[in-house]
Amino acid sequence: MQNLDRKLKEYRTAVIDPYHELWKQLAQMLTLKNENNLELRATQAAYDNALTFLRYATERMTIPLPNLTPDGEGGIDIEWERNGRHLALNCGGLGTGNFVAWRGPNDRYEGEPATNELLTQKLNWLKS
Amino acid sequence: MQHDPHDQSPYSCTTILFRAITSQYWIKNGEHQPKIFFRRENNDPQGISLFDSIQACKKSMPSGVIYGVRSVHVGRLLDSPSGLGLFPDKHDPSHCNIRFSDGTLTPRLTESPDCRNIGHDLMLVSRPVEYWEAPDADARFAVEIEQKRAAQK
Repeated sequence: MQNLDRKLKEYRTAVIDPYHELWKQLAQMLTLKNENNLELRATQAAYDNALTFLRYATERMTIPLPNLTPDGEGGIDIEWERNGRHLALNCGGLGTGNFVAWRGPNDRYEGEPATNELLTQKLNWLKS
Repeated sequence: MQHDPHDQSPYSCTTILFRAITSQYWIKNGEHQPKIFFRRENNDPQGISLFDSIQACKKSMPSGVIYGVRSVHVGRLLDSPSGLGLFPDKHDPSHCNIRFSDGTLTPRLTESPDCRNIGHDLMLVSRPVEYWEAPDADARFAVEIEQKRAAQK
């Protein structure tokens, strides 16, 4: 019964917030275990920046769900791929040096320091 | 000034070197990701590390835990569009570092999109060693390479 209640609660949350799973995965980045001299666990600064960028985008448009991975230096790497187009947002572990990179099919990556406007512009390009 | 990286390399173009995969997060659905070759200051302060054997890769982490190995073809690495070179570690003959051919460090993720481009370039000049966990992995690899080269003659 408790299991059913929990599943029902998760279902309601997902219906209310379609990005529920994304926020959950993002929060999990704060709990990863470091190993091999890699800082896999996200710093609070990286988490806060990632959340701010993604919230800004999701409040203005529907975004595809990205793939989240640690960058190994306390930062979070957020990646999308659609129809051969690649878009990535890296939120650095120090809370600075956030970077957006993108490439079309068979192209090489270009990139610029991240801003909310640049990310939403590139998310629109990804979806177009 | 541009240099021909083949002139500087202490390794012949047919040499195969190896990259240790130090995190499970650089593998997705069983597929190696370009992140394997991203330079990180805490792991690769002198350049992107390569070793001369699979065994050396396994010993490279004090924890003794790695998640895979990729073999890297030196000639193809030196010809990659990123302009990379190989720089031996004076303190460890089994180890060398990938840097730009002029000796400067390649960028990290937060510094330039070229970190990702280099990761992709290095994926194209390398391949996974499926049996890296086997105790005789180096011997098996040597036999495999010998057979491939014999078949090409």
